[in-house]
Amino acid sequence: MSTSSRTTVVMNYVLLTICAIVAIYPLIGVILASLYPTGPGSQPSGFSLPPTFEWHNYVTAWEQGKFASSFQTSFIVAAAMVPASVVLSVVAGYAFATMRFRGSQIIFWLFILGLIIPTEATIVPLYYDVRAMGLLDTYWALIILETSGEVAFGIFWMRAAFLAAPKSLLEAARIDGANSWQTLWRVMVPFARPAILTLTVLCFADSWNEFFLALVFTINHMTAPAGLASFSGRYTQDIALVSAGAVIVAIPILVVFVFFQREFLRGMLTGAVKG
Amino acid sequence: MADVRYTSVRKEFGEVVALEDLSLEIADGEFVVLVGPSGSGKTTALRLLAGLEAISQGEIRVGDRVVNRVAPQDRDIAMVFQDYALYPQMTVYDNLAFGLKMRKVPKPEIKQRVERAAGLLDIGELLERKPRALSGGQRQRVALGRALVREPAAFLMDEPLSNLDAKLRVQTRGEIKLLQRQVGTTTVYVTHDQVEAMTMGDRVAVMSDGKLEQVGDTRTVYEHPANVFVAGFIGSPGMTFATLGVSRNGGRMTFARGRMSLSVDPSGSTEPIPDEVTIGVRPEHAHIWRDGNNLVGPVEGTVTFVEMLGREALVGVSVGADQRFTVFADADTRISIGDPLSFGVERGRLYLFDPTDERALGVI
Amino acid sequence: MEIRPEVVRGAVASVDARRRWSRGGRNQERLPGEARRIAYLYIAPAFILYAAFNLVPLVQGVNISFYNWDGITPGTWAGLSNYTDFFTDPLIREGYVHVLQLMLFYAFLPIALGLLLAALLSRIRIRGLTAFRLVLFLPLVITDVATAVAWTWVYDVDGPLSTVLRAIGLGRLVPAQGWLGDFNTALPAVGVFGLWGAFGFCLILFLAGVMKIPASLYEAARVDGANAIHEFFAVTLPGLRYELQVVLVLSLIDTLGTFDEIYVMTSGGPGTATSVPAYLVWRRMFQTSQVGSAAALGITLMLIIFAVTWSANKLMDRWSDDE
Repeated sequence: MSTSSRTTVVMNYVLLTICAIVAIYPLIGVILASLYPTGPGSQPSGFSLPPTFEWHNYVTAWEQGKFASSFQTSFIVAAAMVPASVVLSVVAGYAFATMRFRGSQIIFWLFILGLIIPTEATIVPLYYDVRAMGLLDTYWALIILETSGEVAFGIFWMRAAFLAAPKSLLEAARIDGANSWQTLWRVMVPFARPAILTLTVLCFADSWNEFFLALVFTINHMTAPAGLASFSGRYTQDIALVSAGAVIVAIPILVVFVFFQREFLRGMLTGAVKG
Repeated sequence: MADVRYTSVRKEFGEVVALEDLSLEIADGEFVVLVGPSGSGKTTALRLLAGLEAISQGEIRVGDRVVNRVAPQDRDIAMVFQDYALYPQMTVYDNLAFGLKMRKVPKPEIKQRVERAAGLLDIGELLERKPRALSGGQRQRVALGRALVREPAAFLMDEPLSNLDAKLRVQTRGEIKLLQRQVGTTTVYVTHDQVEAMTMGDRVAVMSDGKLEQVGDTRTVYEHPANVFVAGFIGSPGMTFATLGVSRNGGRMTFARGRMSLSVDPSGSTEPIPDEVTIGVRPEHAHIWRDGNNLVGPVEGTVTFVEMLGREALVGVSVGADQRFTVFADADTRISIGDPLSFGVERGRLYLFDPTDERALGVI
Repeated sequence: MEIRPEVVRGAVASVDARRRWSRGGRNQERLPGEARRIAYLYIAPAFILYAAFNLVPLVQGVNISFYNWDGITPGTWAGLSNYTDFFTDPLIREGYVHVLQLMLFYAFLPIALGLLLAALLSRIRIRGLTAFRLVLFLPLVITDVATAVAWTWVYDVDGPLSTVLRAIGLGRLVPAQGWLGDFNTALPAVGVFGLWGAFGFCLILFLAGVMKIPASLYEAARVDGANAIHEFFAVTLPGLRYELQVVLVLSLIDTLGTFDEIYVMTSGGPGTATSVPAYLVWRRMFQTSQVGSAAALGITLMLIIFAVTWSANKLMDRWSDDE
């Protein structure tokens, strides 16, 4: 189907627009709902515009939902988890990609296993382990668990990125007298910068969006998604307020997405699309 | 500045023997070209010298040091890669300086060496650019510069010109040769292009299937090939061959098979000729038969192709079922495919080889 | 729980990589000056962390699963009974039946729709494709807690869906307790949520894949007299088999791990109409104090995911080999 007659072009745009509308419809709906007057008895209705635009719902939601605290938690966890995950993945991925050593196959497959092991399989013992370590309801629990979960993917990603480097580049560096550490930081990391950026963005998204771990391991120090779930549970009747909460939680990751859309798309598509 | 010596070097990759007992001496300051088709082992030999592969057996020396187990960075060699392997995120200056920086050469000396190399290669204006902003030819020079700057005991070059277009290649060939003369560093150069080998090398080492077929200066390799392979590989267009039966009567010999027959008067300067012989003829020594010319022949055949080269023409002649030759003719010769053609070979230019082991027997 | 597409490519990629980098033979000779043992140093930090918090707990989990335990008092040995519950406990069975049903919405439908649309959209350059991609990816980028909250509102009795239906005269379809409160509509409602999320991804993925199919294949098909349907099966579908394989495995695994939206939208209800294995794990751990069972559920889920991954891959490989 490679004719580009006028009708096909128009049909393309129509189809895509329909899909886009379907994708965005619930999100628009929730934004509209969030602007309705709050409190019991105020029923936002379907898809019509609210009588008044209650922007201050967002302030109320922010306070009632304790989002200041949960955002802070989310940011702290991300600020620790993302650099840790990226650095560990870069270093290990480099070793897998460029060095030959005994057991490299086995260890790598162990990491790959981590991509398939669901959190549910380890959550039960992890809970009791973390509790025993006294780390329940702390930033550390989330940071450590999210990082250890992320490195499996990160190593896979960085190894692939480093493998894409021409072998002659590594050989040239070796002949030039660089040892493995110097080659990593001066030659390979600059070479793989786009991949590293993508990984960083993906790690951030994973951390920010993580719910299950936050639910299990935090009570008072919740992350944003867990805070939203709790808020939604407490205020089920007040649709406007809960909707405002949802929008609030969605904003940071949306901002990151808009600024780093290329990296997001690359990260989510590259693995699947044959390179 | 040092000589390089391969002694009985052997390299196996699992079951595959890439290099079989290579022994080669390269004198200090010499420019030696390893030439051969792909799979001949020339690149392997170079990489063994660089230390990018491990030797299976034998010994390699740089200067008076055995470098078998020495790491590449400690062998005092510099390499120019086929794909240049420039560090993509660094400027040209940093690319050139990298090796020196790793060796903790003081900054002012780095600057001096880089600028000197840049001057020699005429890339001084490119120092602040990144590789992706350079043309292929410029990148190639930077790759050369990176090796120059190191001032090593030997340059190793792995087909550095094969990614350039033809015209640039010819031009750069001369420049590299000149550069090497200026700098005087021992150079081991690998290529599959025999024209390149013949124009650049002080000596040429022809390789095939992991073996060194012949090493010698260009004249020797051209005029006195050691075997069928070297004879056919060197020279373009290449030598053509035919295996003929030998019969003797009196002082003369006749080489014949099928419709082809050559009567020759062998001088004593060949090795004993067996009952069958493979003859080789270079197209540049084969000419259309005219009565009275001083050629060996005639050989009668049919024209199979005519290739106009401008100044002259290449004519393919088929004699009998499976004997094909190529003959040089003047550009204005009127020949068409299918015409009958007789040709002869210059005296002293009929090469003889043993048909079983393909060794050269001599030339008559 | 998000699993990356690379899971599936892991096998292929690492075999390719091995070929690229190795010299054949397992114990290759050491290159002069080659760094070998130092590799362990590079890998150690990541591996220690990973082993401590992913591999060790796995073993611990298996251990716990052999006990009946409430998490506080010492547990009693249960042998394999927590596992045989898979066959006897109706709640567990129900959970898996539900995810199987959800697979329709989370995997098969989005893939089919994505394929269909990718085929319908002609392969011309679409201007503003980036904008469309942005919008279509939104559902996946935003945390599913937030999107689940959004859809909870959509499914409300007075939510957008119901309002639209009433507006076109289909008001009688709206259940009294809202779509998520009705026994019949709750699970499909969750399904549609998943479909909404997965569809954008599939479409963009397949579109990108279709763009990569050489135009000459389509032209050859056209010359051979193929109509649109033929073209789809002869050129488009085979051209997308790699993407298909990845998306299929990925989405199936994702479905099996469904948790967030169930927690937010329905809490497994009404009753147990939308319970899923992952939710059961959480419930048994924190609400019904059946910790041993929860552990066993987790392990079982993992094994099932392994099995699904393996068989889906085998199936797709077989299909590719038939080409």
